[in-house]
Amino acid sequence: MLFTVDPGSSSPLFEQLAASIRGAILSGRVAVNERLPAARDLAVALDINIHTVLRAYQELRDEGFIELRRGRGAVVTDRARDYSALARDIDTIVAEAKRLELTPGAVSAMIREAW
Amino acid sequence: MADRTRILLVAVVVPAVIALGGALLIVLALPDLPDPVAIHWGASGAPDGFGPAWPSLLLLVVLVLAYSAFALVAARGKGLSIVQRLVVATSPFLSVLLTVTLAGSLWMQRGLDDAAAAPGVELLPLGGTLGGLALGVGAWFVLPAATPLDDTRVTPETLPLGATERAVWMQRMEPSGVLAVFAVGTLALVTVVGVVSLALSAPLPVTLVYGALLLVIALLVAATLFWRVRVTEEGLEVRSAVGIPRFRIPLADVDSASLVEVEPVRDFGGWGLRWGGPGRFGVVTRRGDGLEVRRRSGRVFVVTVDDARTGAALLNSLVARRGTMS
Repeated sequence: MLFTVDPGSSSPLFEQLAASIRGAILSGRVAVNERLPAARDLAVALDINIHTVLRAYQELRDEGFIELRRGRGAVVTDRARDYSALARDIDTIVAEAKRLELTPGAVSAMIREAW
Repeated sequence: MADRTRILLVAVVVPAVIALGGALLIVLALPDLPDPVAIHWGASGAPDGFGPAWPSLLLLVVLVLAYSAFALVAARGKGLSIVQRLVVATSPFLSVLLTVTLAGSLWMQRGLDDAAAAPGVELLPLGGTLGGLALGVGAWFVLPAATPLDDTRVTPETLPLGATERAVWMQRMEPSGVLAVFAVGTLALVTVVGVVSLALSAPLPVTLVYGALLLVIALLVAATLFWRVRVTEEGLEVRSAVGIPRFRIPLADVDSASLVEVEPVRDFGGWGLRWGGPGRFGVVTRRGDGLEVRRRSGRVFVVTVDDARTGAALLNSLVARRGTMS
């Protein structure tokens, strides 16, 4: 799977890495039970600190996207399946919001209100 | 003669006729053969292994027919790749080698009372190899010329990479569950049987040396089942889970990367670390998607891997970015 971070961007590297993995899981490009690379390997490949990778993995674990198992590393959970229908609905919302010329901020405010 | 007829002739008909001829010779010689016959010769040239004659007959027919069947199956599909041509031309070679060696070693024992007096047979494998090569080379020219295969090559669109963005693509390759269990089980069985039979028949030091050797071979085979593939700023790296073997193509050597559809036998003559025609090398673990990298030197490297499209796209993007930055 593809991992990207941009040191030139303003958001923290661990957030960018988590977002890149989350995106891959949500879009179905990563299968359930697929193992993510060892944190050390990924850190070396991306030339970032291993703690940055571990923090991204912990973030994804807290969100339920991956499980961290001793000896098996980070494994993608089946939670991703619950999200795929939602991802489609969000596509619809985004399309509708664009038609109505709403900003992402306005749409998230509407979602928060409905919560 | 139609191409299919030529392939059938070289893969099956000629080898089968030769092997059955050899089998007939063995049958004709049977009444005159000592019982048991010599079936193995030591380094000194004198026979050191004895047994009945019929297993040689069976071995000859079964091996030749099994390879013929494999060659015929391997040659399926449209056209004939250079690898398929080689696999098919090997069929008559193998048939001559086995026939000369097996039938020849029995034929030379006609009229003997005791197989221990059997003459040396060291010339048979040599003669069989030379004769087989001659027929194999002839067969090569009878076969239809290698045709370029259906082009399944897809060069994916490059990814939108920012100037400071770091991107890596990492993929594991593991055999499917059933295959892994089968392969590891077979390896374990062969190793255990090998070590046990050695322990029963050989002195301890010999058992230890050969046992260690068997273990190394088992590890090497296991190593070629599990791979890590990654595309980084450095280029492509394909590394066995054990660490060795490892293949690297530096980004500076990469001309272009694409997605190809790999048919292991047709394209590479089988699975594993494979030659796939002139200037083409592959790490082949399964059929299906493969990442193909053309080097600046013109040589081509192929690795079968899931999501090869993304890997190829990233490699092309990195090459393009490198070009614009330097």
